[in-house]
Amino acid sequence: MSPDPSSAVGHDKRLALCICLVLIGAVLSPLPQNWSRRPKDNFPLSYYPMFSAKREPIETFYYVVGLDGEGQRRYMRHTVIGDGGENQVRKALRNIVQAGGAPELVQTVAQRVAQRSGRRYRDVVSVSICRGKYNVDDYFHGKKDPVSERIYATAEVNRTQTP
Amino acid sequence: MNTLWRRFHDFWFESAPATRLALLRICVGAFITWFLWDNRGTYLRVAQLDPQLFAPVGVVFHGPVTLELFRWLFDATFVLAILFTLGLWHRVTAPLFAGLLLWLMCYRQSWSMIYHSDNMAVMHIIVLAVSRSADALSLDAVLRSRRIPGAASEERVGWEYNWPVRLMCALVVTAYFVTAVAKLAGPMGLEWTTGHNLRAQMAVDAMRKELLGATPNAVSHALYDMVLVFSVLAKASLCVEFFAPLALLHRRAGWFWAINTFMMHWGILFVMHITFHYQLTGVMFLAFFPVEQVLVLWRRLARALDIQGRMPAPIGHPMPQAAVEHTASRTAHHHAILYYDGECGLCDRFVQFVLKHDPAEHFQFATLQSPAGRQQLARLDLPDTDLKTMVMVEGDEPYTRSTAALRICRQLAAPWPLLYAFIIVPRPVRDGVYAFIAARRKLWFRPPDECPVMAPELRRRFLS
Repeated sequence: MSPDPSSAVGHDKRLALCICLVLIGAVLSPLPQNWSRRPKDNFPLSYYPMFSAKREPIETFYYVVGLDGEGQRRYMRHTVIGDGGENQVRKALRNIVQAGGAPELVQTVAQRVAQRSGRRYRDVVSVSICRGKYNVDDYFHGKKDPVSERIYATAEVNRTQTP
Repeated sequence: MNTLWRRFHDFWFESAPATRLALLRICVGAFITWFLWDNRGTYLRVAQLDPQLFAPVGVVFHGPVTLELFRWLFDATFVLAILFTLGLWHRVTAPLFAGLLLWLMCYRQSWSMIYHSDNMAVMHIIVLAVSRSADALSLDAVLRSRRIPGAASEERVGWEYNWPVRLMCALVVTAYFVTAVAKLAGPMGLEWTTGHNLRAQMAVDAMRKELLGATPNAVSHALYDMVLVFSVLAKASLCVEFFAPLALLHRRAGWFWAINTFMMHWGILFVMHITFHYQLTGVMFLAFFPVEQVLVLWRRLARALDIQGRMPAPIGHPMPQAAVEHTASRTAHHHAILYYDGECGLCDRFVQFVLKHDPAEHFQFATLQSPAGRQQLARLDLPDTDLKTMVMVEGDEPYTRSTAALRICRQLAAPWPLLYAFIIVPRPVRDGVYAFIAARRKLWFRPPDECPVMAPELRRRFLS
């Protein structure tokens, strides 16, 4: 197989070639997920589905809205909702809501908001965990209100109990 | 079939210096060390998330571990990352590090969110861990040279240092190819190239972030109505991904692809604020380049600093005695001859520049009007009446126009060899710029009125 006259070198090259084939094959192995009925992403061997999903004109989002005394909406930052970055929080929020954990989570968020003194948080009197449907095109042309919205849980922000 | 196999064999197992693989180990290892240091807090916080969110991926086949155990494993991985980068006890520490890093990364992705930016860093660490990446530029090499005096590991060359580099490149292009297949096999199919879905992806990503309290992304809002931009970006990115395997076919194709992909990730950061650290730092693409040239530049810089103040004096000025002695003590060993237009002011200045920045005395000089110069012009089938290019003969190989200029820069003292990076610009473009300047050189640069008196050491380098 190997043109190298030395059998020891030939053996080493065959071993190297095996490693190459295994690793390249491993990176290619998630390809069938593209045609699977229930595709499952993995790590570090991914089929990279993030940019292939089809987007609809109206998209659904999970988020936490705070209301101030005058009823003005403010979107709460991911740092008061959970840990691990925006995308981690987004997925965790959706999973928690779908698992029925919104009432507990909203209490935690309300406590965190009560401890914050930044401009975004200081006038917030209540927080709600919501699922909203937004028209993407409208949103990018200034109409930033949701088409429809479902509130899963609400909690008052009680600053008097904050240590 | 046999010929095909032999060609593949020669390509995959071509000889390479040990320093190339070693430098990749250092760069990838240093990147991971920094990454772990920078993300320790996030990893520890994620490890404390609600166990209900835990969905194991990769090599994780168990439930959440205790925070104390996770912290211990994280810190062990960090220490091993340092040992890996330094190349200490590589045969033991490197596989252990690769295994622990793989588990650690998989565990971090097991909390309902998979970050794809770290995949390739893990794969590259695995390749470097199972190969002889610590044969040079490592503590192992230092210890070996102490045991066996004269074992200069940095000068090692062999096939065993090349296949891991090829594999690192192959893994990168394969991953991008898989990305392209996902787009084409997805619900959009070829329609993806219209750019509508890319535009929608960007929009949804921006909305997700804004609805989680992020400041609105001004770039995505400004670009949203520019449909043509997304059409171009979609086609360009799909080309970069789908044709990625072609980058393996030729060295320069690899450079071209790597630079384009690197810029694509910076574009993604600019438009979508998505940070792929391994790609954005350029570490992922280093395997496509002869990184060991950095060492050559470094040595050249050190040598230049070493002989600083002992450079040849400018033409027409007496040479300091120390410099004369130093130069005289060197073995005169020239490697290339530069033929230039003796009646051109720009060429004269360029020759002076080369003399000043060529402490290794790599070059000798002759005018194109001399018999030797005319001989070279005849050899290259160039007219000897209208001199539009210098000729540089290195070994027995003649180079002209921009290629000659860049190859000359490559041999000069630091930092001039950095200009050689322009060699990746397509030759017609480079030569176009060269021809533009060459056509106007006599207008812009007057020839010298008188010939300078040169020191004997310098005069010896002129053949005519």
